Amino acid sequence: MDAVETESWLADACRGNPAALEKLYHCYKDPVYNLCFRLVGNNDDAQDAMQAAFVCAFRFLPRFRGESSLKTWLYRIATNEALQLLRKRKRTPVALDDRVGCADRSSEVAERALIEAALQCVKPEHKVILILRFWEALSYEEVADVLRLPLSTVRMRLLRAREEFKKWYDVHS
Amino acid sequence: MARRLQAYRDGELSPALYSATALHIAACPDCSEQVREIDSMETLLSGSRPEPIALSNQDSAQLFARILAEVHPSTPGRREVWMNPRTLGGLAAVAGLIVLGVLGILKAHSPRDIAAKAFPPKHRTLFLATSPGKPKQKLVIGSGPDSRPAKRTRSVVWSGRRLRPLGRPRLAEYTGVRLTPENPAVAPELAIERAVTDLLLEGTPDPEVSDLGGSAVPPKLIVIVQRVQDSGVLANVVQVTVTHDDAESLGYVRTASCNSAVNGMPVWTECKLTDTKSETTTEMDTLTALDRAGLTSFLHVASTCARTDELQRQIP
Repeated sequence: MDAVETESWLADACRGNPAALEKLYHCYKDPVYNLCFRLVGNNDDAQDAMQAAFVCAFRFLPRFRGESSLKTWLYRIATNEALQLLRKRKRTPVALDDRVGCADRSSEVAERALIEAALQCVKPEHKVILILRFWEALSYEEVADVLRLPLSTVRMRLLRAREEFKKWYDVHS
Repeated sequence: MARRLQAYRDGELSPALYSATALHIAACPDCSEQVREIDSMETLLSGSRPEPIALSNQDSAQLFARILAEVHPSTPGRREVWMNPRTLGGLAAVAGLIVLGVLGILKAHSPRDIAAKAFPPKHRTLFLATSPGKPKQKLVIGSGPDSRPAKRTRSVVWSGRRLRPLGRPRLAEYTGVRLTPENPAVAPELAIERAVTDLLLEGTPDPEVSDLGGSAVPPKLIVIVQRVQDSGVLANVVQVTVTHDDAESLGYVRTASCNSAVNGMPVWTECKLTDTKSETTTEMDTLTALDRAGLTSFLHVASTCARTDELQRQIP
């Protein structure tokens, strides 16, 4: 999105203008929803996390200083909300392959289901970093920004996340 | 070495180090295998990226309506009652009588006066945090259990300095405080403000806010105010603790806030979180100049977060 165009309604959104808030919502609802869905693994929880994220974002919008992009900032909030939801509900998220249909078990589908199952089983912080890096295709710097971690910590955590993922994947594949 | 191989794979090494690593990999079967593994794992993960999905228009619209309702809580039913001319007329009459009847009393106790007395500009207000059952050595307001002050505060230590307590600490304890947005009718930040103001002025809490209703297993809100002397300057140390009965078992407690006066009104300025297991206190420096909405949000987050670092990240 054009930065100048964003700036024009962002100020209104900071003042709580519903039309500007709606514009912000429509600009970012899809990426935020997808991120939440990938993290929590089902539609209901994804919507809950997304709702909490936008509520938090709208409340804190006046304090958004533009040090990171608006998308990164929203990702940060959404990631925290999704993680919080996962920990709070303490139940195994619905496997993503429920959407695919278990009857059709081609090797590609089976492999994808295995990857998704592995992601559900690794530690939440590992899952988050793997999804941000590989599914959301964020750079290391962007991941560090979203998670508010030093770059070196991101590298180390990613390394450990890969190891945990690989361990689970190798055992079950 | 694993980190360097990863950095090599990501192209994040300096040219000299990159060349040296490439030479090493070419000569070392183990490292060569590791790089291949990293490659295959990254290809596997990147290749399994699910197709983006979109919310239906109906879901999207409903969700936005819920978000707006939460950000700007105003139920239509309430608006209808308040906008009713009869209701407004009646209220205006009652308000007029009250204003005329108690004008003299109110004149001396306007919110600005109250705030000015509670937070006189010459007095500094300091922050103090502790954890129930385990008072922190650096941040102690009293020696009683569960964040309650002893009959007399023996010492107040803040930022490594020992402050001289003056008089007895004043305590207000509230249960039934609902700190989640599901119950917007309860405003804990208002209760805290009022409790602090009352304690500073009268030494007793406002009975109206002592029972706020709310959840079946309520968090407990404890407000303690201690007058201290710091290098000849009088100060009010305010401690606000939000805790659950099972705070100990959870291993953490949200201890939050202090205030100062800006334009004559109290403003929440700092928040801290205490981890009861590691006995560390985390300063929420990102929450400086916390306003009322910020405090509400903080309390909500603090009442649901499971870990200190999670809470730190939660606050944008």
